[in-house]
Amino acid sequence: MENFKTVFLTAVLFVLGGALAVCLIKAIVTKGITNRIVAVNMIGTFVIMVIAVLSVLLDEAYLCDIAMIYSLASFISSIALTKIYIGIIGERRSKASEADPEVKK
Amino acid sequence: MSAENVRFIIGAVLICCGLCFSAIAVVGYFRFNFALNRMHASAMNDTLGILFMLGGLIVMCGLSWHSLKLALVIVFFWIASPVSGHLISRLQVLLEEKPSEHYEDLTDAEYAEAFKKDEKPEETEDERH
Repeated sequence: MENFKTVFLTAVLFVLGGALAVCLIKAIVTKGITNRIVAVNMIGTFVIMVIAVLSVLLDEAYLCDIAMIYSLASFISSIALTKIYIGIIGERRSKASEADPEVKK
Repeated sequence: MSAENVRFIIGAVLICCGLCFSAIAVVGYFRFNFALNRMHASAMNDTLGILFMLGGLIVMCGLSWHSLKLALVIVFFWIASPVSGHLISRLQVLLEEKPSEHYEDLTDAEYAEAFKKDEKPEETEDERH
């Protein structure tokens, strides 16, 4: 039974790793900032799944704490990036509307 | 059929369900061209993929502190994922150059006109007070 569990979880790790690589390639190739942020979000989710599977495979409970910390980090990173971009766009539009009153705000 | 075997089989089935949802989400990400549609697919990975995958791992581990920690990861991720999804969609709507291709972009005046019927009962209540 231990052999089955090890083989099955290793196969799951391979599938997750393949999906992760595919998402990473798509994140590099697509154009547009929002598409890339969505892809990075998906990569973060896959990484959390990989860490959780590893924690059961190696029978070490403390790896779940690392998964929790990584989810916190990816959540904060996507929020920070989007807030920065929304702020930059707001500044640009207010400057453009001051210069030319016909530009859409 | 000992308890451990049954636990392993149920956990394996749940993990395979989670893998199916993740694969469907990745295929969906590839097939769509627009960011808001892609977010639809990635949200499926964030909620159902994590739920079934970690649920299967919880069943494999049995009741212990390990399963409690995995359940905490699920709970936190379900709370955090919609917030980041909302912010990303807000950014996309701000950056959109051709909104008429993908969705109806109503201005504030058009919205207020559409919901004028809902505002009237509130005004009569204020006049009474």
